[in-house]
Amino acid sequence: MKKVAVIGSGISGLSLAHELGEAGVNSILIETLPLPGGNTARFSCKATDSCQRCGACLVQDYVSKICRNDRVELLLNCEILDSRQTAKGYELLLHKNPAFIDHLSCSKCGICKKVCPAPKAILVDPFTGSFFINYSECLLSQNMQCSACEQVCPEQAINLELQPIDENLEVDAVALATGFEAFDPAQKPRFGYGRVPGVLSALDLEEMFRNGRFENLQENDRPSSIAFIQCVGSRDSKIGRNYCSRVCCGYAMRSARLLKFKFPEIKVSMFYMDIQTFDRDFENRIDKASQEVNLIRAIPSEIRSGPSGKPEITYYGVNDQVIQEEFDLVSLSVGMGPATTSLAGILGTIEPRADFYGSNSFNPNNPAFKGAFLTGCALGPKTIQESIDDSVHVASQIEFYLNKQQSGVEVE
Amino acid sequence: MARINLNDLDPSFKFTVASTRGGEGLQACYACKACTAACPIEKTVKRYDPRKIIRMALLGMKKELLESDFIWLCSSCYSCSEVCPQDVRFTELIFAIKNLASVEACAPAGLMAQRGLLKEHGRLYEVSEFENEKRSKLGLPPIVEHPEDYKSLL
Ligand SMILES: Cc1cc2nc3c(=O)[nH]c(=O)nc-3n(C[C@H](O)[C@H](O)[C@H](O)COP(=O)(O)OP(=O)(O)OC[C@H]3O[C@@H](n4cnc5c(N)ncnc54)[C@H](O)[C@@H]3O)c2cc1C
Ligand code: SF4
Ligand code: SF4
Repeated sequence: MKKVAVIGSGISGLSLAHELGEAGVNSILIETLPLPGGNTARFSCKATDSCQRCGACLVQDYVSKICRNDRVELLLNCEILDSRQTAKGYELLLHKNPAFIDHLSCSKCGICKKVCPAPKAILVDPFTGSFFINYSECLLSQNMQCSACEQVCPEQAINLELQPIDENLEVDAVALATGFEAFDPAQKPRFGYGRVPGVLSALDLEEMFRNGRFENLQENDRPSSIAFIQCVGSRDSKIGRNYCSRVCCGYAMRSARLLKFKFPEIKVSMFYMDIQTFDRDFENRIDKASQEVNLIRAIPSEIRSGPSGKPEITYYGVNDQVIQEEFDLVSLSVGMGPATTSLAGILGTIEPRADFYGSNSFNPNNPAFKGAFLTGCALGPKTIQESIDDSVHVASQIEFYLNKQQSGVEVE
Repeated sequence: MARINLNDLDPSFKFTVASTRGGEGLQACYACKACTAACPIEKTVKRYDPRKIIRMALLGMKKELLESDFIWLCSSCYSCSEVCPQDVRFTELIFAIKNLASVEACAPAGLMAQRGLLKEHGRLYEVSEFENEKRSKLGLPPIVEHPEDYKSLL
């Protein structure tokens, strides 16, 4: 039976494993993190009175499809330590960290999280609501003694005695769906991220939506103004990212409309240098949005704490003058950069990476990469839907490759 | 706003600027205005707008740009270069434009006078017997002018 290792369980990895399963190919979905979903797992639904087609819910769909699919084995908390090309395909050395909480027994009571002394060690799975241990934050990973959660769990679902296992895995092909890393806006200090209270990255805003931070606010706590700053960490040759991240104009616009829907009084401004319209309906949506959102073609020179402690933006306004304006919140629309996790030599020497695979020396026809495939944002910035489309395409490529291998015909 | 007549523009001017030392970044500009928002000169002299200067160069407004007085206002503080996402390096670019302007003999009189001083004395202030006498009374070594290098440079 042919077997494929899919590395990364973001939307591209999930949809690839699903598509392979549909085609009758078995796969092992390997993820370093304790939960599937990748970057998209942090996003929230942006529906106003109608769906805004952000695609965030697709991830949830795919996670439940994968869990029901017998042809897919999901390995969470799993790292690849080493890799070797063999006559058959690839041999991977896996390091499996245990899932200390047994999901089937967990009753989702959350008592463990309350007693845990490390703030980020126990997390809640946004899809299922069950709890899991984020081992890298757990005191045990720092060789300290602690068994607080194990002792309080009323279901005895926690077993901290479990040990990590190293294991060899032989597969016929590997698919890299390692995705992207969002830009860290602290690298652009003039935007004040981490220094000026009220300056958020788009991911922080996503989490605020997700955690319901904008629900049931008192009159006084409602934000009265928000600014979106576009192209933070994209189209920026100073930091070696002279490309468009393709999704930020869209997601900022959707967040803007959602805020406007929640708080009709809120003043929304969007600072851009060039709005990119990637799908055919976008032009219409921009027209509609420009009635609700103040679109300003200017990138601010600086964001600092204003006289009242709120973020104050300095920019050159439409009337040819420098304007300093305070906002309650500022969201920096961060772009995408290549994921920097180790690939244990699967693609030979191409790592650590400063660029997406699509735009550097990875060439699928090179015999050194035989049986290796790439999908989704590992190749370059894409939307959720585009990542899924990519995986559908790559799944058929893999199927074709495996069939050729089986029939003994050499694949160029 | 004054009208621009397309026939008066010089479409090759942007290439001239881009091939002048310092002007290489010209065509990378996105017109995002971050430079203008950061410029301290713009705050007092509204005519001075780095982004507009770039637009003028790109449009080929050679005459208007090279004969303008405002290109000489830059304080070389590099605030614009600091904020520019496109690495246009406007401070270097304005040097390139000023160099082109002075080749076309459009440099302001004050600057030309300074150039004369440099050529003559190798410094912006002439050092005479008087200064050196004063220096020797204070126990300081005399200053000898070396204009030769400047002569060959200018
Ligand atoms: C702020 C923001 C908002 C966005 N909003 C939208 C939106 O509204 N709509 C939309 O369509 N798109 C949006 N996007 C884009 C969207 O996030 C991507 O299209 C999508 O996440 C791509 O999925 P992926 O699977 O390719 O990558 P990822 O989501 O990055 O998943 C990669 C996975 O691989 C894992 N991994 C990496 N390396 C390894 C390794 N060596 N071993 C094992 N596992 C590994 C990672 O842990 C991760 O789980 C947004 C992006 C950003 C930054
Ligand atoms: S900051 Fe750079 S890209 Fe933006 S307008 Fe100025 S020169 Fe152009
Ligand atoms: S270097 Fe010149 S153009 Fe740039 S900000 Fe300073 S004064 Fe303005």
